[in-house]
Amino acid sequence: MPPESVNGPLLDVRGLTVVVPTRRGPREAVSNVDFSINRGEVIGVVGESGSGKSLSMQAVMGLLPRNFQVTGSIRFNGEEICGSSERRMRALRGGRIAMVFQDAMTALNPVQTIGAQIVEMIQLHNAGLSAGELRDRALSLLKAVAIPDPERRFAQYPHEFSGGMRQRVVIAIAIANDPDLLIADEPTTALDVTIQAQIMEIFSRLRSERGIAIILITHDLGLVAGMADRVHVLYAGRVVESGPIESIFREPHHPYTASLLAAVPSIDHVSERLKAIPGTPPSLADRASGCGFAPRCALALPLCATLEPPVSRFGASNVACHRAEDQASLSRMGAPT
Amino acid sequence: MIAERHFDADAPLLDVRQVHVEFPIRQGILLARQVGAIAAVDGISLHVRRGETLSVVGESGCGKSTLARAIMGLVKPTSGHILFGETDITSLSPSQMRQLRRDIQLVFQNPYACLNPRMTAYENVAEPLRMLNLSKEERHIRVTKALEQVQLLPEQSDRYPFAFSGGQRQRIGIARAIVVEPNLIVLDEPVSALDVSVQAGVLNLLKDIQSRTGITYLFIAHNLAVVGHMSDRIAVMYLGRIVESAPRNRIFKAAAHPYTQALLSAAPIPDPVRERRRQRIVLTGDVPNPARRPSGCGFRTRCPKAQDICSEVDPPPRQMAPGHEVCCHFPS
Repeated sequence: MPPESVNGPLLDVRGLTVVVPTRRGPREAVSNVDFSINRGEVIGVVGESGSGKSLSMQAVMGLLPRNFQVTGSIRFNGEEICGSSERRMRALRGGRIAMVFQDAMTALNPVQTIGAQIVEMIQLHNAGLSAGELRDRALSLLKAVAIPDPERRFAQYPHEFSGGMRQRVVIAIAIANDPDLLIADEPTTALDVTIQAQIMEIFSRLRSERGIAIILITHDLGLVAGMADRVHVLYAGRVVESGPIESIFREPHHPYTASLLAAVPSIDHVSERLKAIPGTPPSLADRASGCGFAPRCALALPLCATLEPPVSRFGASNVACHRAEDQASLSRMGAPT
Repeated sequence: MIAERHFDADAPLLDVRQVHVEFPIRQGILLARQVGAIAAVDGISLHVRRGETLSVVGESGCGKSTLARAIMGLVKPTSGHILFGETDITSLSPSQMRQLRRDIQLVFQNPYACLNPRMTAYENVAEPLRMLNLSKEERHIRVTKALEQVQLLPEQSDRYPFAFSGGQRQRIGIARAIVVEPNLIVLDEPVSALDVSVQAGVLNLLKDIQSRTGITYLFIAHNLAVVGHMSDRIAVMYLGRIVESAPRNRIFKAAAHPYTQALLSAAPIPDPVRERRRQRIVLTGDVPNPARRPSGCGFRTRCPKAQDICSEVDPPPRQMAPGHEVCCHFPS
């Protein structure tokens, strides 16, 4: 269980809305998203491509271009950082908040040694350390992410590393200044399953040994099952369901969550047919009124197409669905959708 | 009865025999001399029967894509034979190979890269038909049928690739492969670039096409969970060799090679309660460089069970059950 923080959550996001410019005018890509994370907690943010999961995290980090409108409240450690100066954000990024991206090769500089890149990150936030101290800290970071033979690896270039090893280096750079929060955006998507398991193990060690809170962004609900305390499911820019991991998996209340779960291929019950979700998510241009999932939903009523479902509480979960209770009883009976 | 068993219907459609694919390592600039070789495929034998799906599973760098390219005739094996029906692919001239390609098609991992961005979906699917000398009407019928089979709406066929989602693009890639009505499709990681929710739809589609047309698949993937519901048989590859092969259910219920067990153990189970209780075998390190293959068993450097004998003797294949072979000194 996550340790309760004394003075509120580490990161508290309320009503986050991101309006992006498109050729046909501004469109809301993230709508009224709420989430929070406590110290040492791991939460999963799950959704398909285009659901707004990466966009909302980039908004938190202040990484979006100026012509993207970000509104709402983003409180980090009690401090409002939505609309903060670039100078303040730069101090936070790589310091208290760090981020790991999907593609480790593009995150690293190909013409600099791994060691130099880690040292640069430490130096940015700790001026005045001697070369020896910097090197020692960089080496201990490489050890923390389980890179064998760190002394030799320190002097090597990114191309000499395999995909899994590069992702470890990126994680080492991210944790260089002992952040409170690590945002990992699809950190294992490009990797083999065996390497994925190794990276996930590193994440769970970072949480238990260093108390780092982690936001794990992924399209694969299966991946967060072993690690996250709570899950937020995003669809078409909205949080459609959020709650403790056990209730999300045992008793999904939103038909979208239930279908996502049913779509995960598993090694323990190999079935002849997987449950696919028909249709595709709505594009930014044609997000209509009502529930965004309605056109693909097996339980949709005429009402769903016109009235956006409000967020209500069911047990431990918050759900935005007109048919949450019906879905929950279907889930209890073991039928996905 | 006995004579019939040697008949065509039972003969494998694809028969790979002791295939080696080696890439030379050269050093020096002007007079580059060969200083070694990487055995990407190191003596692989396998067969695929008509109408079945054989999955080849392994990590990046294990040689599974090189094997696929050898079967497509895109790289020449250093030694060994690849029989497609009665024809030995390894001894064909380029023009004969081109003839054969209508019978063997390939679906790639990245559907965007294999579609021409300046052609509509329809034109992309029609393109492979150019080698078949069909009339305009016949061509139209074939393309329409292929698009229908991958469940693309007729009104979408005039759009360009950028206007489609990843899953739809992969459907166009599949339509391109089935439009020439091949006997075998090699699927090289067809869903690993797609979201989980979209994966399921593409896998179901492939399965539907197979049950309708009786087509044969060679499915190449790195994730055992993904191939599970598609495969009749599964072969697990490590460092250029097949370390275990068995009917699908044996792999999932009675995997005998420690590497297969580790792959199974690495796949996440979508259940928080069991996932947390689970004892994981996490392999340390990466696949070794194939240019410096470890002595004896190639897996021993990462194997939790390795003993002295593993570095001395290369484990020969042993049979665990009918159709279930494993190369390990300590199978369980």
